[in-house]
Amino acid sequence: MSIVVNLDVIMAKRKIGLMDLAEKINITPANLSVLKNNKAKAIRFSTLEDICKALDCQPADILEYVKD
Amino acid sequence: MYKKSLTHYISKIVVDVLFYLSILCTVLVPFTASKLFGWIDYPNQSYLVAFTAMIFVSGLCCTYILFNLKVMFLSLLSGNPFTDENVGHFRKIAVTCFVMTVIYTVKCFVLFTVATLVIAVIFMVGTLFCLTLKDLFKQAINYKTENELTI
Repeated sequence: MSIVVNLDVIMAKRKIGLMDLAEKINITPANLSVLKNNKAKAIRFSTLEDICKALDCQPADILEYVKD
Repeated sequence: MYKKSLTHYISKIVVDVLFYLSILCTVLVPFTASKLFGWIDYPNQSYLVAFTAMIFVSGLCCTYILFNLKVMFLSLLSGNPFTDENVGHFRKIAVTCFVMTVIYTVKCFVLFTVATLVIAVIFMVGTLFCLTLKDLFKQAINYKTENELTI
């Protein structure tokens, strides 16, 4: 996929686990895992906002475009 | 979450009853065909074997259609009807309806009656209906998967 989700990198930098982050942004760990493993087809702006707030980062820190 | 209503349960009971009735009727066809044939004003008694075969195959097809409907109803009541299995069931029902259309169309050329033509047309419409529903369900599955994978 062309859009790569670098959520695991930011989570490691902020030293926060999957379960903690899922609880903070009020989504299920399963859904967060789908996002983290690049299996998601789309992300809502509201979810992206919550993640950026929780991890104190920018969307560009989480999402990266990679040429095929 | 999918809301079940009394209509769904009544429909399921009707489909179940029809399914078991169709099995019974199909099994009884070879034993009752000659009596049924006597009620119809056919010009030639030699048509009895062909008539029996036609009714028996029709019974098998209807039983198969009702079986597929029965299985799809179970998935509907479980709250998850948009599955690839149900797309397959619609395809099978469409093929079975087409087989019925062919049988009754052939019968139209052999021994034409208005009822035979009506049955052939109904099953042709049924074939087209099921093919359309199959494609609709396929698209619905795509939307559902897209929605499930939207975080």
